[in-house]
Amino acid sequence: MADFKVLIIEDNFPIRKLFTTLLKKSSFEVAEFDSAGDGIEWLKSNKPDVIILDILLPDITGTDAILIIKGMDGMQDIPVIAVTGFAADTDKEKYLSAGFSHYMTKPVNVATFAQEVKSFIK
Amino acid sequence: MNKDTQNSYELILQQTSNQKKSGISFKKTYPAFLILLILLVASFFVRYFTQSNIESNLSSEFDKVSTSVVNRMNSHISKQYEVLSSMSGLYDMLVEVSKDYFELYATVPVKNYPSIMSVGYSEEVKKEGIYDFILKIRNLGHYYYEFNPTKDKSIYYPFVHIFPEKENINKHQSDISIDKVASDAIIKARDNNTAVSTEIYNIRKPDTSGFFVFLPIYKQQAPRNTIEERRENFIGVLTLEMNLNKFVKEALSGDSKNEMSSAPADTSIIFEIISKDENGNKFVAYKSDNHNLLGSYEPYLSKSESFVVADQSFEVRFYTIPDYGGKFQQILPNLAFAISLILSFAMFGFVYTQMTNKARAQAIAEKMTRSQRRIVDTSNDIIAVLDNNLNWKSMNPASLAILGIMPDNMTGKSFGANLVEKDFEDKLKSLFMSSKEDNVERYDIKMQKADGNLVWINWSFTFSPSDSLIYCIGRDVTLEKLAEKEAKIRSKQIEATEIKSREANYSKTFFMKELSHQLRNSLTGILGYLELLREKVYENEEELEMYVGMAATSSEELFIYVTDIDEAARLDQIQDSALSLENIKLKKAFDLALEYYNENNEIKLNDKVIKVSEEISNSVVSGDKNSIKDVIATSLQILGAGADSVTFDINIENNPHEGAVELQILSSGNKTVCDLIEIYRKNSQNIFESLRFDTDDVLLNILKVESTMRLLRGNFKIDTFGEKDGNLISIMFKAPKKTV
Repeated sequence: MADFKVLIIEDNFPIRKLFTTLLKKSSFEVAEFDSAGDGIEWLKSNKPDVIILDILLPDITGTDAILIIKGMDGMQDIPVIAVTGFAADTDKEKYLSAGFSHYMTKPVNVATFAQEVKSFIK
Repeated sequence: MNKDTQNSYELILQQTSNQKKSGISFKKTYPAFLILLILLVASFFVRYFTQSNIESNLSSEFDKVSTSVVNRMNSHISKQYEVLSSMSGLYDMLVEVSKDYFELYATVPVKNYPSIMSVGYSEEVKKEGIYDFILKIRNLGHYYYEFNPTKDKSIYYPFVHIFPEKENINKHQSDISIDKVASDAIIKARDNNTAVSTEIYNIRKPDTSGFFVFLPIYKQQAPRNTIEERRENFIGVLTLEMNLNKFVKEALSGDSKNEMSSAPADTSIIFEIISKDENGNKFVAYKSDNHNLLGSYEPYLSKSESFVVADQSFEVRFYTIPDYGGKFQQILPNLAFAISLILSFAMFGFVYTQMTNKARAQAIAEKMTRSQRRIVDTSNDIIAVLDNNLNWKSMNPASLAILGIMPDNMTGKSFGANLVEKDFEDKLKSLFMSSKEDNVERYDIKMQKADGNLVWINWSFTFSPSDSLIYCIGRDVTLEKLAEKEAKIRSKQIEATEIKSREANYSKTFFMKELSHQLRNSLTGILGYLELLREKVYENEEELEMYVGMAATSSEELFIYVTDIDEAARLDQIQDSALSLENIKLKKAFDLALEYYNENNEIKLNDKVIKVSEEISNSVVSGDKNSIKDVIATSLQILGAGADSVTFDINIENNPHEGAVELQILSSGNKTVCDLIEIYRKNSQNIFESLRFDTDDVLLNILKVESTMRLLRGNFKIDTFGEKDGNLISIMFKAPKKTV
């Protein structure tokens, strides 16, 4: 039985698989999608404990996606973590103010990744 | 006035004002000397006329006084003479005139006129008739009459009557003819049947000056036509003995209450009565009271009048007293002369000063005119005058240097003959016609030289409606214009460089961001899976191989990215933009652009000149709101540049398949823009140099819009269909990403 449910929306296959592996090994139930549209569709009937969301997605930007997600019923309190290659402080501020709960820059620390995600879960 | 700060005109003024009087030629001031001469002559005339006037007045006064004296004397003696006349009437009436009768007639005049010493009657008595004479006289009232002649003569003339008798008791009963003067006078009276006066002589001792007047008496009704008859019928004479001094005083002071008692200014004259002695020598018989003044001065005036007593005409000499008329009148001519001289010199001084001032002013004006003429002739600027038909009336030699045309060849020609833009001639004429008062306008105008080359001239036009002239000063500013143009081109080139630089900066930023992003992504895979492998997290070989494979995949991604790094730097390859992208309603951005355009352009765009397709209301684009507004406004600016009027046809096409919104702006024909678009297309690789040909910033604006659209991940194209058919701008905006 998984401790937590996590939704991963990341279009880069190796990275998405890495995240999935790391979180599964930490007793997460993982739902993974390569586009915001599929992920949002999944959220209509599922409620994760945390969402990991890439900024640059093929269909819409992460900032647009967060807006949609936060607009969905029951999603307001779910932490959404931005995981992105844009590491500038301004980027971090931008995304945090866009609605992301937390911000993680790539490359992630493999050893502590799962623990960090868990810590964001309320 | 500080010499250092003086200008050339002030120096001229100072020099001329310091010019000495000798610097002013006689030729210019001779009228002043002429006036002086005239005034000096006039001064002499003034003196002469003043003197003449005074002399005339004094002479007139003198004449009046002297005549008055003589007239009064004559008048007075006439009165005395009347006494004799009236008494002779007695003898005509009566055979014998008794003493009483005689005294009766003589009393009044004697009493009234103290000058009458006696009135008497002397009868001619022959020697042999003395006795009878005495008897006769006794019968006439002189009861004790005696006559004892002292000399033995054949004829005697004893006084029969004499009044006043008491005062003349010595004369009564005496022979008057003892006095030779009297005797001669009696005989003369007898012979001439006329009243006869003696000369003035010492009539009574010791010093009583006087004269006798004798009136002959003849026998009643006896003929006396001839001298013989007179002698024959002569019986005696009436005598009037006058005291000259008293007579004169009586005459001058008035002898009756009915007459004027006041005499004219007798004291203003000195007079003397001249008589002759028995030898015929003249002597002064009477002197006025102030006669003693004579001799101490030269009388101003003198004259002689006649004082007539019976047949005697006594000369009365009149003299003016010293200072006759007053000392002031005496000096008045000289005073008038002096004053006239002073005034003459004063007038001369005034006129001379005026003339020298005028001459000096003329000299200044001449100098200034010469200076000004030199300035005009040597000026490097064109100094000229246009008439109200804009034809040159005058031109200085600078026209040769600036326009290559001699001034004489310019005169009479039209201003528009050398204009490049002929429209300006109408504008200039319009400005001139509308000028109500003198005003100045300045314009930089391109003109054509004689050799066909162009020159920029900065004209200063002074419109003078009162003179119906335009005063022009033209300065060659070709170099300045070229420099200005070069500066503008440089400025545009700098701005174009800045646009490129901004775009490059954004490119660099985006590239760095993209690079960072890509590296991070790839490293995430590489490092992550390597870590998993190192920690031996895999559970089986299959998983091991999967981890190795993922790491390899990430490595390959990185390798590909690094290999093709140029493409990675392209803005259109990245998903995001450094500009803050929003979903912008195109209609809103368009309205803002239109508002901006109308605020900054003379031609206002409204529904009549701009048609927009309805799709604009439904169109949403991805971008920065201000940037989209600027792109649309600048595109309108480009297509409308330099045109007096323009129309726009705007079409919107939503292209969801390509994720784009296309905005097309078609404008009406515009030769300026058409030409510039051609230049842009030919020089798109070297747009900086082609900015030299830019007008109205068309090329610069194309650069701006192109760059902005690149930053917005869009596209910009500009085409021309020819100067008549219009020009087209096509803008491709990115459509917003789909929402789910």
